[in-house]
Amino acid sequence: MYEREQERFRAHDAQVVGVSTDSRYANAAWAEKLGGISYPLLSDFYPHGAVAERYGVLHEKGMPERAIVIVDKDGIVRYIDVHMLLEVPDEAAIFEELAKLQG
Amino acid sequence: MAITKGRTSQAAKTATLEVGDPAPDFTLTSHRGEEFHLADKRGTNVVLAFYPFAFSGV
Repeated sequence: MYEREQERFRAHDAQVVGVSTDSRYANAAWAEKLGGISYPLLSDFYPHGAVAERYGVLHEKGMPERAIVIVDKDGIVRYIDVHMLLEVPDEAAIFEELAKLQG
Repeated sequence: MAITKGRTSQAAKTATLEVGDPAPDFTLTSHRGEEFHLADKRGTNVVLAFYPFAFSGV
């Protein structure tokens, strides 16, 4: 869903990155299946889930929760939204927050 | 079960992070083999979208 919103993210001086514990190759295959993904899909693969763990979003079963963390231009966390595994965060809420950051 | 879209977020903080905290820095490799270093992105808002599995929707 974020692919079709790329221009909108740019207009908010924002970059989206996906983070999962999949290997780079699984992510590449998935991106290809989706017809190409222009933003980075990052592999938190080894050590497994280390970044998700530091962000406190590593599920007990070893994969990340579905979560959005917005980091502002100074590297400060401005927004955290942790969702259930089968629920996709609402992009409207993300853009509301980015608009606030643009002041 | 279907993936639904919604705003019933479970939490506005995580086990290790709250709003206002410095974001833990990291470097990870993208699906195109490029390194992404969070600290290099100062001056840009970064939306980190954690998701459980490739092929599960992001």
